[in-house]
Amino acid sequence: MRDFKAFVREHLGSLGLSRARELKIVDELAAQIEDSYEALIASGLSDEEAWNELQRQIPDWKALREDLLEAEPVLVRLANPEHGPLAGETKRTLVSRIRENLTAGIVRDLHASMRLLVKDRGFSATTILTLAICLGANAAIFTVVYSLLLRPLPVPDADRIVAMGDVYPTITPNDILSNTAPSYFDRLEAITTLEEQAMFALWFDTITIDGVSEEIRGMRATPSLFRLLQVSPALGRTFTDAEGEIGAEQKIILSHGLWQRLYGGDPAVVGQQLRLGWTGQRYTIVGVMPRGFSFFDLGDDGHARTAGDQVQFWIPLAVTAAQRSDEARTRYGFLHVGRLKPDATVEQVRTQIDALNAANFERFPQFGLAELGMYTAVTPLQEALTRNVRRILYLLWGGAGFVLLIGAINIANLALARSSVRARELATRLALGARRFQVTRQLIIEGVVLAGIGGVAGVGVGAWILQALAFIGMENMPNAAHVHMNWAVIGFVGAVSGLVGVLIGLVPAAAACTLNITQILAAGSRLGTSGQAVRVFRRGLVVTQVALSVVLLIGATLLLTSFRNLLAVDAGFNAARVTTATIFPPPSRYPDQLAVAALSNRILDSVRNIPGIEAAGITSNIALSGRTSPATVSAADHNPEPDEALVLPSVVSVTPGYFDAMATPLVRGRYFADSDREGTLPVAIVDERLARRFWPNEDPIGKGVYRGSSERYTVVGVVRHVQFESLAAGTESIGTAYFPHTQAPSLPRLRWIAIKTAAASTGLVRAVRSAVTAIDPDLPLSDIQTMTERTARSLAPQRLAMGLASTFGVVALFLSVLGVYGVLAYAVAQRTREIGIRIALGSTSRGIFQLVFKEGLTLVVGGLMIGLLGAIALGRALEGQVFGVRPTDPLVLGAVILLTGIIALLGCISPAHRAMRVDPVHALSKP
Amino acid sequence: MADTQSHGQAFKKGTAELLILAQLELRPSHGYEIAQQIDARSDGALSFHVASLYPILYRMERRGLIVGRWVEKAGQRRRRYYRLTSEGRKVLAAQRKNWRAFMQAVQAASGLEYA
Repeated sequence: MRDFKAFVREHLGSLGLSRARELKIVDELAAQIEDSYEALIASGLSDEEAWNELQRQIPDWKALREDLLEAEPVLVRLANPEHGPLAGETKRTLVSRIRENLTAGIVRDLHASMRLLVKDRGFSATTILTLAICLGANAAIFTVVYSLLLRPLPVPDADRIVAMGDVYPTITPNDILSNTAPSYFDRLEAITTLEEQAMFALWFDTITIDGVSEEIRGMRATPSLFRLLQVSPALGRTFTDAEGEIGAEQKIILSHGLWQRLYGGDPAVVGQQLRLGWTGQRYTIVGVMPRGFSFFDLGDDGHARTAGDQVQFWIPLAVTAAQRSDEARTRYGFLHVGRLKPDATVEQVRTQIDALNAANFERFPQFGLAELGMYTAVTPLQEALTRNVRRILYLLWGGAGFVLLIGAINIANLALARSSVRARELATRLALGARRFQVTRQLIIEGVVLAGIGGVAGVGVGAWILQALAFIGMENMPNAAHVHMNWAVIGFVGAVSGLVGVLIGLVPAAAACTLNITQILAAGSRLGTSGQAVRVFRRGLVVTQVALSVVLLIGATLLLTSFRNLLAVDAGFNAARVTTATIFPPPSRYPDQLAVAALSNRILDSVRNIPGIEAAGITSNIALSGRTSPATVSAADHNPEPDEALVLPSVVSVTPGYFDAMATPLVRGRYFADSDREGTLPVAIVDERLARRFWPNEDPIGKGVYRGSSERYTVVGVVRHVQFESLAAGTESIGTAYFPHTQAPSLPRLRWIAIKTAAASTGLVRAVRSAVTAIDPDLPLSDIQTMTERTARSLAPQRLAMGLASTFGVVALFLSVLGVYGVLAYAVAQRTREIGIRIALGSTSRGIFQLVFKEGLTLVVGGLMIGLLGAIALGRALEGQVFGVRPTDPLVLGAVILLTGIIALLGCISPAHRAMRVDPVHALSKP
Repeated sequence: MADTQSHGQAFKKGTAELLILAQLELRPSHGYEIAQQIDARSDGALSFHVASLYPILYRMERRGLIVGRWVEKAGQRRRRYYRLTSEGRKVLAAQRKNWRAFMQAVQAASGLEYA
């Protein structure tokens, strides 16, 4: 008796499977071989002959072993400890074979995909184009969102840094970064949840390079700032605490860029002296910050934009006794940041500061801070720096997501339609024994290849969109200099296109797996994925598209309306032919207001003599500067009620000629004149808002105002309200009081010169500069902009939002119409026979047209209704982002619904028309 | 070349599955019986060598198309009998239809080609 089990074991060897499993396999194989053996013996063969015949029947034991192994579940085959370790060799061949199969399969599928891509040009081109547009939009908006909102500030653990600022809800509701020196010292003591605190102020000075005086931005900061930021200098050291005291503060740290420009990167610079032109101060260089370090790069209007706005030097902030005194408890002008202790939260800091403030309200009732509703905002620094654009950017990001969704729906619909064409191919492959996963893999690889190409194109389109954005004024956005594509963007686009690719592949794969293969193979292309479920699904997709488009378009229209309203705002000036520049008389040479006034007069006299200049004036705050300069002003002869709030309008000092240059309309009385100077009657001009506030229903001319505890100023004129912060923010402003620059020693320093020219002339700037240089060669004229440019800059975020949203809306509408058209055209093509029968049975053309059109109408109306609901939800998110229009404005909603409806229905006409012209003879004779 | 070969293998696997399912539809059988029946019903045109059925049987069992059970009858060797599951019955029906359609398609296509 032969031992068949031993025979099998000997030839098969170990399979590397569990003992029980191997035993079973051997048992069964042995049983079968024994059956064969017995059959052979029964046919008359000798034992020897039968044995040889058996050997012949199984020529390749190795192949059998592999087949057996392949039949085992993959996970069992790979090291499943329950089944014991795999024999080394078996495991290796197994792994390498799996890998080989996979790679060979993928390479084959890649080849096939490329062939198909070229063969099916229409589908490929449409898909790639759609993806390029949708992914391009997403790449662009993600670049902006990432660069401005998501990318951490370039200091370690930047998310642990918070900014503090006192907010006066009725006066400066948007200012969350202003602090006084006394409150900083209070908080140093009382706030235990912060491990480090620092106070700083933006500063500037001038350097002279190649004989040209140039303004550079700087910062005065307590020495603790560098500890807080946890940044080490590239060269030298940062400030010691002792250098933060009065008398020891003549030290300076340079930025990497300034070090390169001034010293060509000379490492021996530490210890050298540097004289800055504006203050005329000498500073000892103690260190150089590393390249790429930046912190709080903000321009004049609180927005950093260009490299020129970057902080280029740091000097110690030494606080004077006067600044620390209780008298200074309302003297704002400092920024204050803190670093959270490892386990502390922003909320805890807020609670501690609230408690501190409450105590201070009791200690210093004379300031009336509690009555003003003052509270201290504690905001994560990055959020504080981007708060103006945060909400709108996220909304736009969502909008871009909608566009992508709409595009993806189109592609999915297209893929579904195509999968009916490919169904025959897939069915054949499945019938031939191809496994589902192989087919699915190939479809997914096809989708990923398509989406990959679309993604690459999308990055290109995104770069192009970013350039176009620069064209519509994105360079005016805060931090626009930091906006550029990087790996995060590429990664984002890659991830999104990968996802879309898998989806594109899965749609036909899912369709293929539910196919009735026989029907497809037998019935020709008439049939396909026309099942009820698929039809409903496709219609659902189209309804979604229309709904998403409606939401986008309503958002875009709201932003557009809002932008138009902003442009129509009477900002209190006429920007035409007005050029502005900043001009800073250095205190070293112009120590007091009188010296500055004398200088201003000389400059203005000289400038006004330049031919082509109509008017010129200098002011301490210019329209749309983004700054407010609130100070206490009270009306004379007014007895305040006990709980009446203090009034802090903007206080601005101006020279004669300023209102003329800006064409700020005079409502009553007169402008300032050269005769208003020191020693004559102190005069003031108020704007309409302040006039209404102080003297409702009375003539303000001749009334008096006090600035703090100053002498009485007589109101001689009323002017139109001027928007200082921005066009959008001016609605709640209390108003402004203007004083002549010669009449008040403690007025804000003059800062801007405004020049009105007779005709737009480019040569004038040079003439003005040389006029100024002739008076003082070390006086830089910087930040030269026309008032039109200032306006554009002030509107940059709104313009960007409007531009992007409109683009998204139009693209979305276009894609949706394509979607409606596609689904209807496909339905008509599928129902050609049915339509043919209807016509043959006597349906009129009109009836057929209505049949198809009605179907389209149902889809569109469904989408519009859902979209309307979505838009109402969007309205909540847009609250505060739109100006002069309610987010649920019925006119806007109605107009968009009507327009979208009409355009979407246009997409129905062509398929309906085609249905009308179906030739019944032809349609019915088709197989 | 790898292409053709793998398609050939796929073809054979696809065929074998159908044949096995068709045999088991008649009655539960053990491996040797299945091979014999296929051989007999195809007049020897389709024959699987003794052991090569097993990997296919195992794979089908794993996919739930068939179920195997050891049976020890008096006077017989212990054998593993396979029977069709309801899932296997469905797949058999589908594969029959597919193959019929496919054969028709091949006939039609090749007929055109040689016309």
